[in-house]
Amino acid sequence: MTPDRVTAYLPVFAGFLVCVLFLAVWAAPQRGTLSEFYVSDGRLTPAHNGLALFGDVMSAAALLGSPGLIALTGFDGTLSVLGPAVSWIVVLLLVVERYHGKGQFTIGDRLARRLRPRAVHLAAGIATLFVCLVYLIAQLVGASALTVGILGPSGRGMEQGMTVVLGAFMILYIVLGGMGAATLVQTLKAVLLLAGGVSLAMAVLSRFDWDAGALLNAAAGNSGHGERFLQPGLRFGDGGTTMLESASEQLALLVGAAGLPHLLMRINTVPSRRDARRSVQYAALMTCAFYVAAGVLGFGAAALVGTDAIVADNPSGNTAVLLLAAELGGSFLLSLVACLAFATVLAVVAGVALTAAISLAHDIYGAVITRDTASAQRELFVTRVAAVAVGTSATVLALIARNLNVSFLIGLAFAVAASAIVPALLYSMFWRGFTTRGALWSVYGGLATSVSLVGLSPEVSGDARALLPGLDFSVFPLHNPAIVSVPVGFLLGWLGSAPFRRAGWKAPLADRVTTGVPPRG
Amino acid sequence: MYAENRSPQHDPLAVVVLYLSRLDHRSLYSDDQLLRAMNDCYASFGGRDDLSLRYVRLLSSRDTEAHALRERRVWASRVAADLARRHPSVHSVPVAPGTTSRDAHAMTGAARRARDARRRALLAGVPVVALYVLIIVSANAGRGFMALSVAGPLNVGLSLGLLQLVVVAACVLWYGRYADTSLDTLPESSGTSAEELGYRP
Repeated sequence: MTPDRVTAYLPVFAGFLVCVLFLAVWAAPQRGTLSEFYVSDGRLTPAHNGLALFGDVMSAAALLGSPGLIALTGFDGTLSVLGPAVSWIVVLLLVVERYHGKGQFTIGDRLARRLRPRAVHLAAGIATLFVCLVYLIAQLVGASALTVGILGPSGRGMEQGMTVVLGAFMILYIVLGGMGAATLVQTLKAVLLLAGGVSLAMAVLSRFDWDAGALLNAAAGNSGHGERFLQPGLRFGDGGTTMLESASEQLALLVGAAGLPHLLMRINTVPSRRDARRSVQYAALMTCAFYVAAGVLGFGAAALVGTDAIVADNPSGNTAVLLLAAELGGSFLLSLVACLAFATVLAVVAGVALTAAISLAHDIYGAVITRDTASAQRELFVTRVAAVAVGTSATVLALIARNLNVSFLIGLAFAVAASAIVPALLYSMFWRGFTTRGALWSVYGGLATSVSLVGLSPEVSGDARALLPGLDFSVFPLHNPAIVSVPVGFLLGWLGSAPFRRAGWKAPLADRVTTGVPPRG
Repeated sequence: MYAENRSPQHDPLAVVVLYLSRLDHRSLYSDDQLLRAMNDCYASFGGRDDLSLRYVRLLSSRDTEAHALRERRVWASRVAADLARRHPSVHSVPVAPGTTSRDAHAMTGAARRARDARRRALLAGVPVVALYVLIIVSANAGRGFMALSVAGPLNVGLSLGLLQLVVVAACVLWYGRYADTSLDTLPESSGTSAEELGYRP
């Protein structure tokens, strides 16, 4: 793509940023209470919250990554959109209604409903911060890679600038507006994303006279793979390790979504369990609709642009949708889609950074350091400072780690969420025998297992494309640790609870409530 | 629902309690008010027999206007039937004095019914996840099967993928309706209420 297109859309995006900034100030909290800043007082309507929830899940990976993968690998690429869609079922059936609670903001709050508050707040805070930071870095690195992808060689100097601009606006939005501003950006982007994705898919289909068969034939023909493009096998080779590899990746996607802190945060922005359930319903339906559109875009890119041209532009396929937009509507449409991609990144990072800041201020400062004695004003102030701290460190880390593989970072975030957060959360919601000891073992154990397995994986050493190509300590053969670390998280939670229950644990609940058996574990 | 010629002795307890309660049968009340008034009324009498005796005496007395009597009895039957329909756990037995709501729940089997209803909802997720596992496994192990043609360029693999999205959407819609009609009407399970009391193991 040529530099003259740069000037065409960068002002548009700058205009978008400033407009949203004004809106964020307008939507900023008025009363200065914690509940208002953290969860908009839990007053969102289910449809609005569902839209924002949909936006939270749809990072740039969904708009650009999935269609790109489909354009390159055909059928194997379509598998990447099924996992996130099915994970909504897990969230809807297991998590959402039991997670919702008035006056609760973080995962630590949810665990502390039944367990010793200080210990579980610390554990949940550490896990939340880790997942959020990794996810933030992944999104910001992705944004800088996207800049290069869109601007071509002339964008080399601008990629770091883009990361810094996005990081700065993210901090501004959440410091000024808290959850209100994060929701606003997310809603705007979700509407644009849904409308843009669906109308682009319509445009593709209209090129083929609304004949999906013709689209698939053309995609297979222009992909250079022929019939094999529509069949499994292009992305994953053969062999037992590949099978385990893909199973591990899918497990992380399926289970991890239920433990992503920024999604769980949104559950409490509605008044009741019923509304929380409805928000997830809206989000899941929109996700399904959008993924059908993403499939059409991916095959459309293969058919209209051709896989060779896509690979020539960017070997990872991330620019396939942009090339498709240029093919369909020239540089105007290209500019729109590029702005949409940056808006997507911005909205997602704002939500994640807010969650990390709240966890730092509410879990670690509020519950652990001051033992719930800090005033609301003070905690709010700490939240804003934490937002600046988290945002700045994520931006700096993203600048340092700009050569890291984005899908590796996303995989790590999902794997840690699945093995450190989900087991403790599910046990505490479904098992009355779960103890504080079990929660701590499961959170810290899951965190340590998943991180150390990634450290021992071929992502970090012993491979030409690894983080440390010169060294080789890759004992663990898989890239994604979920298939080992998720069972370990669940097992540790059980081991820490079951053998330590005292003889009296079977006394009727009502008795224990009235006689006040002291906390233990 | 109300048999005109049914003898007052055969009226359900809920009707009796409603009839004898302090509520005015020409006004509207919330469920909460109704249930509380029923409890108070039940508690203020010595027991079931006292209630029935008083009820039958009132209905058979000659000094009140027959029309007003009948009107209040019809109202009581209607409200009792309506309550029974919308709150299956409450039945015709208001929580008796001296027992906890936990015992009352256990007596009516509400906890078991709630558990069954929630389990049924979870089972609905099984086929969705099973289809997902099937797709992932056959994409790795059953490639010949996935490449079979269904219609034109559309093969089994692609149509299973599309089916998966449709099934997710259908399950989401079904669960929404199921939860609205079957789960939201359940009484809170004792586990949840103990949890909200702040009990920490």
